[in-house]
Amino acid sequence: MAFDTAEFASEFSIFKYHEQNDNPLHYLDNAATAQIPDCVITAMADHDRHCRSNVKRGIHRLAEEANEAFEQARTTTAHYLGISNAREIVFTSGATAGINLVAHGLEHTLKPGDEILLSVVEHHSNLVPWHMLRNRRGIALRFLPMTSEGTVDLSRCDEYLTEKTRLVTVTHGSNVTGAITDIVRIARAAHDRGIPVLFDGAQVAPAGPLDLPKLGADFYVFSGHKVYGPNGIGILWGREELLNTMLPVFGGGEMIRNVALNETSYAESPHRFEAGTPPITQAVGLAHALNWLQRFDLAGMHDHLTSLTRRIMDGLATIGRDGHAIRILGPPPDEKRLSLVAFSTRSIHPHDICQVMSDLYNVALRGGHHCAQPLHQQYGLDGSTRASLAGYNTDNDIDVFLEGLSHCITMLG
Amino acid sequence: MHDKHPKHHRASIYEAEIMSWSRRAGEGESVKGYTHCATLSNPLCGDRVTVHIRVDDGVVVSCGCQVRGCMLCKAASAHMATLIDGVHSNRLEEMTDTFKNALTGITGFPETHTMFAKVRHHKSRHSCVLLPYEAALIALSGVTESEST
Repeated sequence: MAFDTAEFASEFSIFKYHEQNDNPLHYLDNAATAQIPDCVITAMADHDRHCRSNVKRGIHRLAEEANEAFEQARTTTAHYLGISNAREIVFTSGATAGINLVAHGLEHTLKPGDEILLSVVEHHSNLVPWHMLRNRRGIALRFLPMTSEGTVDLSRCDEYLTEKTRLVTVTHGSNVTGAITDIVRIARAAHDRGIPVLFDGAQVAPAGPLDLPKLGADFYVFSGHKVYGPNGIGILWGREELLNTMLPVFGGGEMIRNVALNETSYAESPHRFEAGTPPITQAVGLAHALNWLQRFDLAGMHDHLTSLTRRIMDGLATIGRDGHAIRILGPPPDEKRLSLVAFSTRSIHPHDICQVMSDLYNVALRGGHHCAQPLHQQYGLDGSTRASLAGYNTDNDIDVFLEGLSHCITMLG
Repeated sequence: MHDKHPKHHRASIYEAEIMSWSRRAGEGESVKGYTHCATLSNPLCGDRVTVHIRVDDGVVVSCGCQVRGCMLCKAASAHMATLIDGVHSNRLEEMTDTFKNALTGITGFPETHTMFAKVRHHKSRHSCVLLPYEAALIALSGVTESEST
């Protein structure tokens, strides 16, 4: 069945709501958060209406039903990632929490002078936890450079992997340039040296199911709210043998094997990392979102979004040729890239563009550094304006965006 | 529920007067013989204002702003620099509070600030127009560089 944008969009009440107010919403901020389909909202509400209870140790019927729904959500997520062992799925509050969990969990294995390899393309969530670890532990951070097209530059990757490297952690796809990292290549290079790899999949996971073993990941994170799911839930996947070497970060209920007055032994993964009552309803919602997404022709959706991305880039180039200097960050349209485009306009601040586009055209964009200040510094910029797409975006959204942007630049330039 | 998203909320805050003031900000100039100076950044949006003020016998005799930021910040900076010229330095805090109260809807906008009236509805932009005022207050307090919260 071919991908049908109208059918996809019809599942989201938010668009009908704004249409009814004679103010159609052109939502192009999906890299920040995607909209959530009605069926996912219903699934979460139904869970809370019919079997809301705490999980993991309850004996009564509701507790068993809630626990089954929660653990089924874990299995669903494992399948989405191509993983057969659901014990390798840890529910977190998001990709950021997952990365922090790895940073803290591996800390005891590191000594001063050990190295972590990152890149200059990273989102702050894959920089700041490592800065904090460096400050606590005296490790060194090294950074793979960026190509002129905004991709993690792996051409001299072997030089950056030393006998001191203990982990490689890079983005799977940039939230600014849209460039997709060749993670298979870096995983192979790292594994040749016995170094594990963590990939930040926050921007890639929304495109469809993954095969993490084939990609060579040892750790992988993504967030539910970018995959048409709820806020407050995310996934850390890690190979079981690695997770079980990690110390837990939060201590409390559910993550223990045994507690005496003066000592604690910890449960195995994943429960070791899920202290306290987890985000149960959100996990149910996430699983529903992942199952719902896979009902669609995702290859067709990819082609549709690639076409829209290309239209944006061609449109920006046209506006740029009309005397308004527009610089597009990231690979050209014929290269493999995510369906997002960040650009800068000479002398017009991204927030001014976003404000006018919102006020006059109801186009939702994002302006600023997108939590990637070092990346923007590579371009000599403080920030950029970004349009990012999802399955419900249409040619009309792009038409309004380009028309509005052209007017905006004329008005403010 | 519909009141949150009115049918025709299509007015832009970038009216001619704001755009005119923002162009006056330009790159800004330092003030000769300045007695107070501060740079203030907003890490959330990247706006950055450097204020130079010359105070003579308690009265602001000259103020200049160098701004790297959005149009609203530039407009507010240029506007403030003109407004406090000839004003006693201890009045700036009261002026800042008046502007803040107007933005948050506690009071109406003074006539001097009516061009910013539409900014009230955009809370995320309040910090843009207040940044030069906060920078000036910091300058007058003797601290030279800070980040707004």
